[in-house]
Amino acid sequence: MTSTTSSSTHRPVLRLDGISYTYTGQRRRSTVLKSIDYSFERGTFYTILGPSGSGKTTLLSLASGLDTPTKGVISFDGQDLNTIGLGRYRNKHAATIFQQYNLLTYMTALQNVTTAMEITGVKPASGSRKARALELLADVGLDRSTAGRNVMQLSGGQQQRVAIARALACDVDILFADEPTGNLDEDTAQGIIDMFRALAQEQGKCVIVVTHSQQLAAQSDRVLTIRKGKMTEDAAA
Amino acid sequence: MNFIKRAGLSLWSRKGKTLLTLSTFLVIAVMVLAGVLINDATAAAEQKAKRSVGAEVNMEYDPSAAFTGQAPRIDSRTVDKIGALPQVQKFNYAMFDAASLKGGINLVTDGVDSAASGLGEGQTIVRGVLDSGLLPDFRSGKFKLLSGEHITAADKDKNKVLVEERLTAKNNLKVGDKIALAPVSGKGEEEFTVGGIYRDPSPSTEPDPEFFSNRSNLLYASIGSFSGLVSADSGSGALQVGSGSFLLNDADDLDAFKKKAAKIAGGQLEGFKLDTNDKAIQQMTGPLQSIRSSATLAMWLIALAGAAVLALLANLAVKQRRKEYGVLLSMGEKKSRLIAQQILETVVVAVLAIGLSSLFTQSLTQSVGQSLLSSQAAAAQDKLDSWKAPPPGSTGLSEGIDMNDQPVDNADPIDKITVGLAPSDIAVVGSIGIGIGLLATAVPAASVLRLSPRFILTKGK
Repeated sequence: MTSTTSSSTHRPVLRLDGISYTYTGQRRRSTVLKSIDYSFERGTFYTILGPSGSGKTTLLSLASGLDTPTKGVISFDGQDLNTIGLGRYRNKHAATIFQQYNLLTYMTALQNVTTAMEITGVKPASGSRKARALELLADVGLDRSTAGRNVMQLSGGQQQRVAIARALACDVDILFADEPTGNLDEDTAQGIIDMFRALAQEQGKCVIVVTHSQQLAAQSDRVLTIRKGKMTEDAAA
Repeated sequence: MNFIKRAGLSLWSRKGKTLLTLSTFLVIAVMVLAGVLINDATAAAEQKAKRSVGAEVNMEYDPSAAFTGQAPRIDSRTVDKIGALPQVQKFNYAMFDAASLKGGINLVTDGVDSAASGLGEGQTIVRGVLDSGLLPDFRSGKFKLLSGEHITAADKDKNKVLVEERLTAKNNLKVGDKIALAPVSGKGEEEFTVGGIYRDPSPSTEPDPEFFSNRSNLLYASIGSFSGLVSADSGSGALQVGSGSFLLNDADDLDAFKKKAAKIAGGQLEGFKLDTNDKAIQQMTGPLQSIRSSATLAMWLIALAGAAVLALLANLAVKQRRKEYGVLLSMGEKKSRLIAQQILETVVVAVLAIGLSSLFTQSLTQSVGQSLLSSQAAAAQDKLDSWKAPPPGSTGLSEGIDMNDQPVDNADPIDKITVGLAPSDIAVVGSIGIGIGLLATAVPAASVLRLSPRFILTKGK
């Protein structure tokens, strides 16, 4: 695991207090998360490991404000998400890279990124949104001509990269990612991991990645594991 | 305002779906607009017909009223007040009595024997009228004024008389000649000037339907003069009349007029009824009403069917766009903006469809509406032409002839309409079309957007 930046940037940013989540089916209820307490800090790159069905993605959804826990409180910078408003939290403070990419299929790669910037109200310090979007797409290995193509004409790996560029474009405090390197080749995946580390260490962002990849986990600052509804931090972290 | 950009991108990139929705909207818009245009065109034609015919209200004896043993009478001054109402174009009132013709005038004796109606030797029925031109037989064209002029309100006390041509022929009378009339009982005799000669086409063998006397001998006289003559002995004072008719400027004023007339007359209307004579209008506008009701029914049926198809399409589109909603919500987009985007897309397509429909629906409706009206009018005309009067002396019951079906002269069914497109028509279609579109879109969209982004993205799994 890598070393982290100075302690001043490691202020708590996201706190989970007694978070539980129960799926209610037609015949039975299933509790996948049981009273999880944890505090995520700025400037830290987290990975969450766990077997399939352990609740990793559910935890990510709750922490990113896509859903609300059955029990417990999630706070951002000491404020309950419900007080901030989930929509505002997602708009200003959190961005998610989905496992299924979830791109807007009627748009080009570039339009997907600029749309995210427009929705979140991000204005680049210099240059236009389009220029910044092209820069981000280039950072994830997509050239200008690929940026102008409809996302449905791109490969899975390219779509994954558009999804990453879109999340990065939102310039938020916390970046969530669900298996972000699953469809990428080794070099590109490493490039993305480096980008996450840089975001955490150089820009003080909190990066939380759900993964099965031990290689990715090994490069994060902290490794968390969910098993049987409980989340524990790797002792070596 | 990025939802506007998204709406544009969405419509453009989903050309197939956009075209399908546009086609559905176009069908709805064309049908609704055609319905609205036919409604407008028939209403305009009907209004024109009503104006051309005018509307007539008859004040007549009411057979359903309690019979007091005497025919009801109303003070002519009251009828004058009713006639002075602003809705009234012209009015008439009448009374009748028997009178003796003096000065060697010989009555027509061919045909009906007037003695059968209780008239004595040298006696005939005289109808005192304010305006003979407003009498139904003259208005319908059945009676024709051959020479001279009608008796008008200005002639009320001028001792004028209209004489049927057979009586003038027998006595060699012409316009300007004088005839003397005397009441059948009592004294007095007055000279009346022949102001006009008219023709009643019915044979003299056919009795007058009202008085059962020989119709050739019936006279129409200035009501003031004649009433003064026959009521001189009775000392009844003001002129009392037994019937009246009011020709209105606008058929739409019928109800308002009847209310005001009843208010003016008060209790004096007892024994009378105010009857609307709109048979001519009905005869003229029957085909119009028929195609209007068909067009209205078709318009609503198509609109409903179109709305159902549109609702299905919108529902399907919303389901297909579920993920898009989830993605946008996950970035913190406001639900109101997502709905606004969806609505904007619907409105753009609806406006396009309505715009397209306005380009050709007018000519289409003119052609289809005209064709429908022509066939309806031809059928109505055939029915009118096939009506035959019962033989003389018959009520028609035994022949299966309904006298109520007797056609009104000079009131041919209208067989032409002019379809015009007004901005208000587009506004009506626009509000219906966009209303249907919005409802069909907003309901399924709102049902999805009430869910959490995660639920939307994972379809609840």
